[in-house]
Amino acid sequence: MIGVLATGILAIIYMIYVMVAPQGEHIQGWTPRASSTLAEGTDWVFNFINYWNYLFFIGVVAAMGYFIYKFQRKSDSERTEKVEDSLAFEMFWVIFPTLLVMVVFVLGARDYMSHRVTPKNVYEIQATAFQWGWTFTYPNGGISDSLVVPANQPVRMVMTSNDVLHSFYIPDFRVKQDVIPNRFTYVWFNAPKATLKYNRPNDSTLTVSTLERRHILHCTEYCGNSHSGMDRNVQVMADADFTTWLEELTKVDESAEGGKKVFESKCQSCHSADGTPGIGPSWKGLWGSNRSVSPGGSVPADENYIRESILNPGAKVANGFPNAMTNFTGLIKDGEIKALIEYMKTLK
Amino acid sequence: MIEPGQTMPAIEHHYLNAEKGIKSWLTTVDHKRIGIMYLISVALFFAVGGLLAVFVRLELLTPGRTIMDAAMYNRVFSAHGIVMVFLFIIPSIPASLGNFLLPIMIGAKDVAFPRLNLASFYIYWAGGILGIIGMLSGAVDTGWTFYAPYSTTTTTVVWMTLAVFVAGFSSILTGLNFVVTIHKMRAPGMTWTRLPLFLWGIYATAIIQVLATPVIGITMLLLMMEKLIGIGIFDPKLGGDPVLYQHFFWFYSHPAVYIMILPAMGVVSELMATFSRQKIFGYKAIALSSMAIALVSFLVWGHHMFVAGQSEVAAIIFSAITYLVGVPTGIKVISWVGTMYKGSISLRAPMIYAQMFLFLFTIGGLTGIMLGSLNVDVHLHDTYYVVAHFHYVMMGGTVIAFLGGLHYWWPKMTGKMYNESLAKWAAGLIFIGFNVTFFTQFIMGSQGMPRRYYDYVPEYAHLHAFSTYGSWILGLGLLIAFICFIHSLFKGEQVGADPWGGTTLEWLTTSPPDAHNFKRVPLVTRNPYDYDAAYDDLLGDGMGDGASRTPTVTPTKA
Repeated sequence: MIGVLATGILAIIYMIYVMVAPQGEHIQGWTPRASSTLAEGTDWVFNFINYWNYLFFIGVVAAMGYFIYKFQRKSDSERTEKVEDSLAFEMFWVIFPTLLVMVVFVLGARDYMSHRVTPKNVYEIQATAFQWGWTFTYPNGGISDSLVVPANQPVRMVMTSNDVLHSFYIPDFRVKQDVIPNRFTYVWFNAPKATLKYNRPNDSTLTVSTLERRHILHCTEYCGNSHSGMDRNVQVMADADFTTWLEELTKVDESAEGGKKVFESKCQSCHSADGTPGIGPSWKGLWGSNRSVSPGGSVPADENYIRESILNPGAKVANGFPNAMTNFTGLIKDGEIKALIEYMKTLK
Repeated sequence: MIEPGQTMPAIEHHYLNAEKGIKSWLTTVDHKRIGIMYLISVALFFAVGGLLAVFVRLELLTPGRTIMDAAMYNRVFSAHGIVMVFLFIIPSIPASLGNFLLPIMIGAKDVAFPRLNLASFYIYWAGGILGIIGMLSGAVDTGWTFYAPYSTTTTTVVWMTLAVFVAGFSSILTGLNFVVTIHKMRAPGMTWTRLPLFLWGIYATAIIQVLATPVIGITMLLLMMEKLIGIGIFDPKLGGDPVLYQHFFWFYSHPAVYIMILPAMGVVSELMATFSRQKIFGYKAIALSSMAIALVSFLVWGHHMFVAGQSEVAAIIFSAITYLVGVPTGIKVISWVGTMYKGSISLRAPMIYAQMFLFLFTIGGLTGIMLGSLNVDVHLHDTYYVVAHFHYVMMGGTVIAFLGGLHYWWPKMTGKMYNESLAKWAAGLIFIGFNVTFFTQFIMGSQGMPRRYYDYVPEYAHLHAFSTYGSWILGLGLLIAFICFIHSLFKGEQVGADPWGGTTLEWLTTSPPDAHNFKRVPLVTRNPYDYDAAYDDLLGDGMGDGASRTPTVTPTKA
């Protein structure tokens, strides 16, 4: 008896501990920092349900505990008093929860519609998901691999996938939408506050304090090996910064240095630069070598082969590797391909 | 009369020694032996699935690579899900406890189609073997949902989908057998309102099994054809629709959630009545709510797809209907708690499991309310919140009830009592370990940690580590529970017919039961939890061996 209560109490203490334990400033309470105009509505309904849940849970557990204590069997020959079913109580217990869940349903559905109806004068960004990354195309033709959005302005993402299902999720904004091949889905949000600095996620040098002012874009529909590697940084920029950034975006650095950046954002999840084989062949020593491919037997790794491999990866597949690469047509600019080739030349 | 502490003399003839040799088991048509064979099989698959879970949690102990690479991790979590869902939790209670107890509890000699019952067992194993081949030959890395077009274009899923297809037939045939048995083979006097609540749970489950399982069979068949000959149903490159796959899949798999939980609810009803020595508060409400859940379960599949690109109107309708499932579930919880009121509560291990079930299942249910809300679900969908929610329902619900039921009916099945203090230690560790493992995941999920992630950002490192430590405590608890059962087989005390003072029919026959269940067909004259009528038995010599039992069940001619 004491053991049972102790076990129960220990478990409840643990639950309270995780609920209130400090998680850094990034997280306040159950949900992450609310960073879009939609977050407030979601959190309100979340908390509304949560408080009722606490109430019901405590009610059930308290009744259980009290009955165990009060009606503990004293002897093996104990008699029990007959308890009659109470129709009135049962009817109450049908009607009251039905009304309550209908209230919860209406609250959730009403706010959901505000997620779905895009306001006028939105800033539209095209997003393409692929295994395993994202490209974002801006109205001026600039292509970016991380998501940068203007602050305090409704942004609409028009999304499609190049291969399998993906899902666009920014926890801080409370938005999520599956991304489907051969179909366009959309999601909108408005992030009022600019973020402080730009960091790549998954950077082991990040400390908790530098994490505080960043937002992460996750893929939440399982899409294969590097599903968890599709995290991208989301940066919210004030108007002037955003304009400058957008201008920079259309400029392409065609040097090996620029190629390295393109490699890190678009190629690194499958290819390495240091000889370790990934999902695709490593780039170290690739330039100028003779490649064993199918169909076709053998080709030299020159400008034509590299370009073809990027824009039509299924044409000549390196032996020993699957035909798994995404088609980068429309996701990469000619200048970037030139830069990649320059970068490849440096990987002896 | 036998003095307390003295062991009972072993019963001469029962189903375990009626025939000898391994062949007599493998060709048996006795529902009790088939139940035991299912029990051993599901325990085996539970061990496999559990071991895979340990590897999953171990990999997630730290961010980045811990013990395996991403490709291996994806295969391990997929295998964990597939084995647990299709080979363990769906058949767990109905096929093992259900098979063993259903005919006894209605006073029948066997199920309606004993040979079909044996065939179901072999079909189940055929599915199991195909699944093992699937795991060893290249392995599936799609998760247990096999979402297209990933499953049809990228990986080898044919063995595994074939396994699910075949195992589905076992489920359909078992369900069919149970429906017919309950309808046609009840003993004289066993009216529908005298049916024990465990059987109401099994009955509702059987109906879902018969109606829903063919859908997954057809879906798996389509998936195989898509993969092998490219018919273009799901793959957009061939003109198909991947969202259509999700509709097909969840049209089965949502009702399947109730295949998993309804029998567990039935078990808990039995435990609550016996260990409170009180008739179930609102018997009819529990029986009817099982049927209501079975019915509504077919209408809510779309709540798995709120962000999948279905129309807003569809999402709103599915959300509304989803909330209606919560009502019959809430009725059950209140009835169980009400049963304890003015009862005579004995905290033996099975009752501890029943209390754990109430605690954990309430959390599972209430967090389901959260996930049914459209705007909140947008945030929580495909995060660890969902992972925690279904583990609270499936493991905190079904597995805990299964363990409780197993302790409760173990003496009936084997004639031996388990070691009480060992069982309580196991229960305590399982409870603590479970909460540390999965409650942590509610927090992680609501903070935005997506599921099926090999690697994660540093914010979640602390909570992931906690969750992994919890899995070790949980694993230890389950290991002790297993040892407890094995220990009982060798060292357990002999028990009489009714060690708990239970009032349903199975406690009238010997432990272990006779090969034909009862010497004579029983005549049922009272409700299953009528402790008033059964008072004299309970107040007998306290040994519960049925020696002083007054004939509340009048024997008739066989």
